[in-house]
Amino acid sequence: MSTKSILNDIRNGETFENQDARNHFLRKVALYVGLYGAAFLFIIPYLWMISRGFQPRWQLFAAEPYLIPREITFEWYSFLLEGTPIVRWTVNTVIIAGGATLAVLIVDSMIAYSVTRLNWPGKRVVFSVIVASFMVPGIVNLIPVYQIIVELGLLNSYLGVMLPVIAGPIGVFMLVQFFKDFPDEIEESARIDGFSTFQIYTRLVLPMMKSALTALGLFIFIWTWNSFLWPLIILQRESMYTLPIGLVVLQDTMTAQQPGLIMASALFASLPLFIVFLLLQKQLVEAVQMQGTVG
Amino acid sequence: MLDLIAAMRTEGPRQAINLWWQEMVDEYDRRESAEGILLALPYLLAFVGFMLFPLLYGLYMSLYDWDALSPEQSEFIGLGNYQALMNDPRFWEALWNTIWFVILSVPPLVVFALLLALGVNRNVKGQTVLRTIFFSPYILTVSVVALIWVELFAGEGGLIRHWLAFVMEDPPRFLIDQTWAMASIAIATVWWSIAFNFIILLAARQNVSDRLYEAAKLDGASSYRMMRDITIPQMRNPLIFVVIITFVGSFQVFGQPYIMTDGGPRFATHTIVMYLYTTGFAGREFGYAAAVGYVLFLILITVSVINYYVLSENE
Amino acid sequence: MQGNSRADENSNRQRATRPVSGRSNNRRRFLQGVGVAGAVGLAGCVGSLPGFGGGGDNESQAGEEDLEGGVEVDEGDADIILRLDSLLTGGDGDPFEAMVEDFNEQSDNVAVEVTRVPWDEYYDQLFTAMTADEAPDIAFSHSSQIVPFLDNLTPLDDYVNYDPYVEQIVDSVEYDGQHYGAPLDTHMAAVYYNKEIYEEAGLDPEEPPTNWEEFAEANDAIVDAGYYAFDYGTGMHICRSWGGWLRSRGHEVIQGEEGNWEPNFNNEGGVEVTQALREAVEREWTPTEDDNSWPSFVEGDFGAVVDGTWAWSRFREGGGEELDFDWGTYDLSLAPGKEEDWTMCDSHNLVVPAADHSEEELEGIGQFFEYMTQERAVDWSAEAGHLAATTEALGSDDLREREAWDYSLHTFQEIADNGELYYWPATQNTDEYSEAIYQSLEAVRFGQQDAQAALDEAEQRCQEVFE
Repeated sequence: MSTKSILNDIRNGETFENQDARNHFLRKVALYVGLYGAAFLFIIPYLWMISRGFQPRWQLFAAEPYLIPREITFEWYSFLLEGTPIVRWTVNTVIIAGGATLAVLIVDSMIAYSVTRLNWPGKRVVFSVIVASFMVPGIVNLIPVYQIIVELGLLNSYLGVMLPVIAGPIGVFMLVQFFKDFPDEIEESARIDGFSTFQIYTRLVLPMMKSALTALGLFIFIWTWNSFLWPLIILQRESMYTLPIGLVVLQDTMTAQQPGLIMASALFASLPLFIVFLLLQKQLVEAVQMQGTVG
Repeated sequence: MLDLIAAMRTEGPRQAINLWWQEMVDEYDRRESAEGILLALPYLLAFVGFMLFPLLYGLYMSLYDWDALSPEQSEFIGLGNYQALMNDPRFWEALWNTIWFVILSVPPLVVFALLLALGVNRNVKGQTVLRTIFFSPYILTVSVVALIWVELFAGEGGLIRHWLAFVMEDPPRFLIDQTWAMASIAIATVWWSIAFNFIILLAARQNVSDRLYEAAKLDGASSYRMMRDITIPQMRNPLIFVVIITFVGSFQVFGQPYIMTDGGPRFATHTIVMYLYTTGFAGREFGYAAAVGYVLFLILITVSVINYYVLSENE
Repeated sequence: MQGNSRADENSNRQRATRPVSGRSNNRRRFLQGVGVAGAVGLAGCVGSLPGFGGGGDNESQAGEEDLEGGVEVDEGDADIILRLDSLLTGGDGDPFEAMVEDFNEQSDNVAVEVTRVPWDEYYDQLFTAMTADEAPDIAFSHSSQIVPFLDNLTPLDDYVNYDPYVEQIVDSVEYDGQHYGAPLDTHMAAVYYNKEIYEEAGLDPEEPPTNWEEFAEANDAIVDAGYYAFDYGTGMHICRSWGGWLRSRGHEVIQGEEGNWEPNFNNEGGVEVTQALREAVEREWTPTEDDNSWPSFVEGDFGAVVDGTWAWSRFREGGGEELDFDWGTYDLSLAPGKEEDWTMCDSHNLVVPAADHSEEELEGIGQFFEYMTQERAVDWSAEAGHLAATTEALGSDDLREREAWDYSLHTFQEIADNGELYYWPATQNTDEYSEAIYQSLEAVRFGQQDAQAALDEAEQRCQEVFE
């Protein structure tokens, strides 16, 4: 594809007649080589993960590794599904990530609406403190939050994993930026029509801010889905584990390394988010870009 | 608030409070205030409970020889934990290892992300495909990333050593070689986390007005000059953001060494967060671990502030 | 010498080994000895993948729960229901849980409920559960891991009769004159060897080596025959060989007492046994990087490997398919220049981590402990492959008639009879000082450090740990 397009460019009037054109051409070649070379390097880990999960033992343990399987087997996947709690872990992860996302969206949009649209004493100070807490790296609070979770009796509970996510300031900050742009006129005319604050919030603000909420929701969902250290500490039972922890425990519990099984589990665990990624890539890009603008 | 104190002096306390209250009533609609606070309350509860309070509670814990199994028996030791920390060679080792990781990972995470963003922004064929590929690792969890790279780096049966063997005599034994282990983790990390920086910088580049370049072209500016005088300055804020975020993220590296090397070989990949985790949950020294957290906090604030000033002053 | 291990695409006799990578360095691999069933039997026996193997007798359960094992008890089955968190999985998890079910059946008023916890997270999770006051009524503790828990364990002398146990074993749970655990077994490592390869190399398979010189000679012969001769593993596994060897040179790994431990391995004996680890690699007995010696052994690529008592349960679970050649075991006490025979070991103990039990409950716990560790000692030993902890079981004819006896148990019994059991020193930070040691030993195996430098570094790190 790349060579062809370069040739096209050349045909479209770009020739080697002068130095500039040659430089331009060379630069273009370098650009394509660089970008597609990088892209190739980027997909190798994926290829490796996919390929190894389908290779039979003799290929996995051969002295020369095979990037392309010579023979396909499903034994790792069938073992994964039948012999490990991976389905259970997936369900757990969906519950935790989904629950946290829902809670964050509700709670954050409420305060964002309150901060941007309503006037109440102390608002500015409160918001500044929230913004300032942006500087606090999660790891500082690891020990004290653990102690608090324990004292609340929430060790080994989904809620214990979700609560600290809900306290994160980023969603509030992001939504406040967007709610600011909500047109005053609409709100005023709604008030004249007798809408209550609550109605304005649920019927006007939320629907109109759908894209911001989607972006935030995606971000929180992926963040929680992938989080590792915190669930590792809070969840105590194999039956409670999320996928990220389950995978590591699965690897560690084996006497012998089973690259086929491990790569199969990695692919299985990535698949749900990968599908989300392919379906909602545009919104996901927006979600990340929103954080960039926030910063 | 200051008005209130001033008024207390001139009008006497009771009168002053009455006046202040009157002002509040005038300034804020009662119903609106009530609604506003009510809407803010659920988040604020979570925020205070799991962000603000822990921040203070952690400081408090760090002053104790905390007994995790019976906290009421904890012993106040003032700055004892911090003192012990400063004298603990294992803390310093973990800190240096972490700084080494930061040095290895931050420059490529920023520079390559910038190059990829600038490249993809050019009118290349397959732009969408390229963007998808570079962005995709963003959705992976650290376990998946670490497990894939462990397989890639494996001694025999690993792809990388196998390929390197074609071009060099004795390829490094990545994860078990003291000099290579951290670099290997950095490579895996770059692959994984470059996505975020890439997308932010791509957006930043797309926000730079084309007109600036057109004008520069008319002036006959070289592309290097356009890069130096237009692209970089125009993207300065997102770049600062990316640099700071990457520093902060790299300083807190945990999952990759925890899964890929468990801190080995010979503690070469034992990072500060791993140190915090092991002293806390394997060593049971909660007070000490909380102190580690605070020291890390201070380091991160300092690094961020330095980053901010250095980068904003530069231009 | 690689001849036999060269890849041959069309043959099934690939090297089943994988190089060291990833968490092979894991300090928690130490606990592997708790008996993880062999993952190697996978092709023939899917259910035996460790951690998730065999479902006990819980036929009523379906799906994944079934595979997770454990013992369930219904409310009302007994007056006293005790929760037990088990770190045993697969190979020895199943017989353990079967014994618990037997206990529940024969007891009128006490029933025990078992939940499996992945062994590599076991002690961290026991600790976190204790911080939340949610510790189980009964937990496991290795003798080497017990010290940090002591303050919160209930002394058992009033509830368990300690007379039947072997003195040396029970000493490992005695602190300040009180016993904090009921020992289920002793487990240790030996050399598992492939008699067919030994024969092929011109060795007498019934006369295995008994000292370093014989061992070296045998290994050279096996290498000449085209196989790796033996493998001592990586990570904490190295210490199973190294620790015993060091002890048989007259040195304990560390000396002293809690609060005042001193490393004691940086000396002539220490350097020599450490050099032996490197020598094994240099003479090509042992591959440089290898984390999967057991699978290689199973595949018939290795003359011998160092492995533990628990290997028996892998063999049993695999229905004997796993090792389809004639194999045996011999004593690992082979240190160059050894003065005495010592073997490094550890024990599984049942302990009571929560303090708030009623007298009635404690008596129930006592009954359960005596049942599991004394009455069923022979069964436990025969099924799980570990050495029983009671004098009676060790001497019983019943044990000698079990299948495990001829394969491996008799060797372990001989080891215990001839030499001495060396418990890896238990301290407040056993994992940390062990990690300091084996990370250096690994560097020696990989040729990254010489023995002296490695021990210097390990000594310094140990001192830092104990400070």
